[in-house]
Amino acid sequence: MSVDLAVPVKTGLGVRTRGLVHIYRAEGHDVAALSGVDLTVAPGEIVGLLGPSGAGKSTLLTLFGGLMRPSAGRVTVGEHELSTMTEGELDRFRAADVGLILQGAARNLLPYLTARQNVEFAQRSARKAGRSVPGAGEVLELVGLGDSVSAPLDSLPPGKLQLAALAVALASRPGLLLGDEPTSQLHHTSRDVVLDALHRVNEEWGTTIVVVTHDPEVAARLPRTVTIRDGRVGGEGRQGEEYAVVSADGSLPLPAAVVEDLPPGSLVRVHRVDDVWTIIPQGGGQE
Amino acid sequence: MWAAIRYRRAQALVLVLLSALVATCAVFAPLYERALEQSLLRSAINEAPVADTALVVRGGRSEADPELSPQSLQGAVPSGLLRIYGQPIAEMTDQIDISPRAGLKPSPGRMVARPDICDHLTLTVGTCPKLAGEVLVSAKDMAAWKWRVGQQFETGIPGLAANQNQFPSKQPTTQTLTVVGAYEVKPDSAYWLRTQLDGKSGIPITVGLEQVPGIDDFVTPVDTFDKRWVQATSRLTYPLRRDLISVGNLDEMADILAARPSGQQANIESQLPETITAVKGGQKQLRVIVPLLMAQLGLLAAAILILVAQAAVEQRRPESALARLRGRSREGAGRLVMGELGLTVALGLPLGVGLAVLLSEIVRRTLLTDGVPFEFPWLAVVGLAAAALVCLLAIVVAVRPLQRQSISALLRRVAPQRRGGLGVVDMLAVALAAFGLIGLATRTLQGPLALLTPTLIALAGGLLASRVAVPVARAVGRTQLGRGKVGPALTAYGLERRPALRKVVTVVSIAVALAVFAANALVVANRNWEARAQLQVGAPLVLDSDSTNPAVLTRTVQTYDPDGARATPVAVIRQTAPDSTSTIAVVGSQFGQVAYEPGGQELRLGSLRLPEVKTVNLQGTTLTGRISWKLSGNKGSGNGPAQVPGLPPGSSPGTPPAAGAGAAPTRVRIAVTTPKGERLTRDLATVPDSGTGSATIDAKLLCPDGCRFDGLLFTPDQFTTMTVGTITISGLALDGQPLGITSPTSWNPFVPTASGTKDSLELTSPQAGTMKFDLQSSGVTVGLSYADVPAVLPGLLAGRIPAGGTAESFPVSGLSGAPIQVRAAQRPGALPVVADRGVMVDLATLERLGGTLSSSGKLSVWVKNPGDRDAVKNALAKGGIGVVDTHTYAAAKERLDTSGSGWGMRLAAFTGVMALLLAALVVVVMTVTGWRTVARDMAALHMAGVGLGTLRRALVREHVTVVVVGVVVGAVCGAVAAVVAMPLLPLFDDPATPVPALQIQPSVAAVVGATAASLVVLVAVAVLCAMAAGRRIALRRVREAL
Repeated sequence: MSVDLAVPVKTGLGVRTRGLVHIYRAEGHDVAALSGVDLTVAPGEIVGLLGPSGAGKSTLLTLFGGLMRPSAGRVTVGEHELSTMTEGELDRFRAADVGLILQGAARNLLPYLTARQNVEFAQRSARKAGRSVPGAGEVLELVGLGDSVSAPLDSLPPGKLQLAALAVALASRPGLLLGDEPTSQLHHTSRDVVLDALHRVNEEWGTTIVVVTHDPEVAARLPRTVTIRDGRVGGEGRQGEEYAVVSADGSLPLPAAVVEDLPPGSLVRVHRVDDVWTIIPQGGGQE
Repeated sequence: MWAAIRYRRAQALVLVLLSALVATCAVFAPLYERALEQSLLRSAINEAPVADTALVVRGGRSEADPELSPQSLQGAVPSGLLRIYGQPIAEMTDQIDISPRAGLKPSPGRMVARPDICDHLTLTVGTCPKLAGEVLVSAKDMAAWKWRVGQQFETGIPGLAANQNQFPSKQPTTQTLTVVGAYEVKPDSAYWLRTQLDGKSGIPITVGLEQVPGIDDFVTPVDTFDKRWVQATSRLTYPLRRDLISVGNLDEMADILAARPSGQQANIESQLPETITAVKGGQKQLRVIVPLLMAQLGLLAAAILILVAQAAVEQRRPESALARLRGRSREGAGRLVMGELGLTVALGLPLGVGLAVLLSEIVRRTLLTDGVPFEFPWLAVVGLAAAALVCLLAIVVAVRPLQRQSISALLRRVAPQRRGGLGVVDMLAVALAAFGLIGLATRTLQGPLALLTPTLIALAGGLLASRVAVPVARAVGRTQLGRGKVGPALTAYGLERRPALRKVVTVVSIAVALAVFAANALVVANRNWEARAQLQVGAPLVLDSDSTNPAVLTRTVQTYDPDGARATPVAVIRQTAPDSTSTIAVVGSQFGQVAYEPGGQELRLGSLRLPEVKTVNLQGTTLTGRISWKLSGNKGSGNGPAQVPGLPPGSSPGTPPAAGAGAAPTRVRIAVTTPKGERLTRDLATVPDSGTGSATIDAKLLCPDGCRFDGLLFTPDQFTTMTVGTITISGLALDGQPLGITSPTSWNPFVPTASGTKDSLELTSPQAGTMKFDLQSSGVTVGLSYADVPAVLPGLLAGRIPAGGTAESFPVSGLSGAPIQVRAAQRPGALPVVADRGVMVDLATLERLGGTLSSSGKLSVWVKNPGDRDAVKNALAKGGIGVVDTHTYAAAKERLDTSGSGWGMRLAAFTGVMALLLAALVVVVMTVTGWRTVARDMAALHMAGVGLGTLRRALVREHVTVVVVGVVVGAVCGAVAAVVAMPLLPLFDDPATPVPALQIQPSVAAVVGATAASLVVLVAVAVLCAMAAGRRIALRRVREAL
């Protein structure tokens, strides 16, 4: 697919968080959804957020999208430091710089409009703000929905509905695309179609993509994964390798399998030999 | 936007209908009011006789204008007035005196001149008079007096003798009138107006002390009234152009009439101001009733619009979330929803206007008087603007909370609930309702808030009930679940969780309260109208007769109905002074079987008994007997004769017999009443005021037509200060026949003329045929009246005690107009026909007093069954009695039903029915808009193992509970509103104090009936809706995205 030279070529927006904390109130007491997340996503990167339910993945996504303000810490998307932006600035940010796919395709679409009309609806605020946006047809073509632009939504199968939701999130050619389980409840064929579309968008537009997923097969197709555990970054995966991430405070979250053998409170010695670091539990034992 | 409206077309239709209803209420009210005002005016004008609505300009000749004629008066009328009047009918009249036959005294008559008068007469003989001095006489007079064409009469010219100085030479004071023909009147009320040429022939007229036969009017050309007729009266009568008078120019006409000039040359008279005042009275009531009812309905429709709009906005939360997600601001996302919903309700406004016009046209063409024009008053435009404002405001109010929510809150599937407490709107509604309730209860509140208070009370009640329902439902749910009763627990938790259902409580409360209030208003109004109509007419059918003899009428009615159970005679004698007490004379034993009881108050008709003592009729010439006396008297200045209660004052026309002895006689007189009702005395004897003696009685009765024996009077000499002793009369007979009046029980007790005196007169009968009178007089006449007529008649007095009297004795008019004394045996609030200014007495007793009916009196036959009208009329005709007017309860009730208040109240039925329909609509709408969520929740429970039957029954219980709670709260609020707000509703156009007194206590039957009807209708709708929603519970719903 050729790049439309009339529309300025955009590169993806990088995301950076430092000590990100978010606390919300539930049933009369405070819950820390995020307990200090330090994360950097390079512009144009595709990152998957993994982790158990309640780990804070969706909360992180919501904060990236400027839908909520963090309780503490900072989150920067491109040049925008979201925690200091006014509501109007956040509205403009959402209009043109970030696209969000909600979980469940239908939640992203106005049921009484076609796919084309939904994309145009999503572009209105960006146009009003004077931003250049691609044509609705071009966006739909990009995600692979060129043949269903005017079909009623209730006539589209689940896979195409998800593509339509993707197109709406990309309507203003945002630098950052956030997706909450964009492939959930899809057949594996449709799932692959959606993933291909995501890759296509990243390749052609350079859009930075951060998605939340529980599906390991989806995670395997993402170049980088970040595991969120107990409100913190618990690990990362790159090219099939799992890594633990050293936090800003020097703590090192251990993989779950290691924690099984070394429960919290265990005393270990950290021993370096050349470039190899060894963890030796108290009383001997192997790494 | 259109796509969004089309997507939810059912909901859009509901919103359109609701906004249409708000617009209909706002526009229909002024249309209806205006049409009714026009109808009331037209009814009042059309039903009034032409003469009553005409403008009359009257003037008389004077030195300044000795030749005044009707044409001269034309300039006296303001041109502004003439716009609504037609061509005038000119008339000149003056008095004449004509001896109908040689030897008879002249009878007063009238000579009338009008242009084209012969066109409105049938000439039975002769020709129309053309020259001055020619006259037409009535055919009846010509036949009765055997007049002929060519006959001449001489009549004096009134006032000429005293005004000869106006003329250069002495003018003859008589005019010769020549008969050229005879006429019969062609009936034409529009031409004759109040002029009645005939109907006077042969009717006795009292002139001075004598009676002369009446004669009909003479018709003559206007030329007859030359300058010598110095007292001729000219008159121009302008008939009203009824098609030109309208509500629009009513005030202008009233102002012009009020400013009309009078006196000097001409008087301008019109009864139109009274008609206008009556119509304005009706208008005033309409301007209270119509807004009171329509504003409530409009408020209900607006409240429902807000609730439905809130439900609609709730459904659009995801769309608003998407708009925020894609960069729109809070306001922008809100405008998106407002635009869609605002456009939807705006579509309903022209529909509402169309409905209002259609409704008003239906009313105008089918129910109102003919000729009411279609009008679109400016208030209807204001109403439409107000409706538009209310509808759009409802949308703004519904959308506002949406704009305040954050994106993350909007993204939640279930909206965040505010737990417990009252919102601002709730508190405002409660505060306003409390304020209104207190204001109405203390009668200190007026104006728009007063009119809206009934609905505000229901709104506050409904809001509180819906708030209280939450914790109650939660508690019940917990309890039921603890007992293992899943179904009832589901019902309770459903009530707690679903705010839409609780909103139904509020709406149903208002609707039922309105229905109850409306039903009660109708029943109470009708109750009062019935009472007023019954009081105004007195019986189901009343026939006014032309009889002036009560005894003849009574006998004729008795011939028709001997038992008096179907028809009864009634006499009403009114006095001219406005605050005077009228007399209504009835046959006490029959009246209660035929007449209505006024205001439900039982009349003590038993106290109006005819005395058992029979009347003694004196038919003869000479009274004889024996009188003996034993008296002692003291002389002094004396008090002279005085009025004895029950007996007439004055002296007898006869010459008293010679005194038995003594130079200071005490006159013994017999009191009698002539058939004409004259009360006279005749001297029986004269006895000295002291000493002993006896004498023969030989006195002329001087009652050629017979008399009724009234009583005996003893009048001491005017210089006597005290007379004490006994006078015995024995063997009193008339032409040898004993009178039979000696029994002491046949006499009324002595009543002193003034309190504090020692006067007394006591009768005993020591032996048969003898009357012994023990008397003590301080120089005044003492007497006893015969007990066939009580000295002071018992009466039922409604209203104030007449001036000059006490409750024990007050004066009122008898049948002939002469005063009679009455005591108040009962003080009811009102009496039939005479309302709160009258006294009811026994007719038969009054008949004993004799006399013909006073000119201000009326003899009627009251009939129980209107179907007997013809039979009664025929019976009266057989007795030589004609019927001059007919009144029915049905017609009187109809007049009240079609008064301003009556028409206004008819809206109550419309309001009540519409309120219930709206409530049913809300139940349906809330089910339709929320069924998916409910079905999905129930499907999830079904998947968890709860049986389908249990779920469906729980759903039905949910809906029914909500409706029942709303109906109960609404019924209570409606009953409260019925108590405090009913006085706001004017039930009568007449602003005067209503008689009988208003009965505005709530009607239990109406309240219970309206509640029951509401319960049946709304529960049925709720059950059907719940069953329809229950049928949609299916497992596949669990996966549905909403």
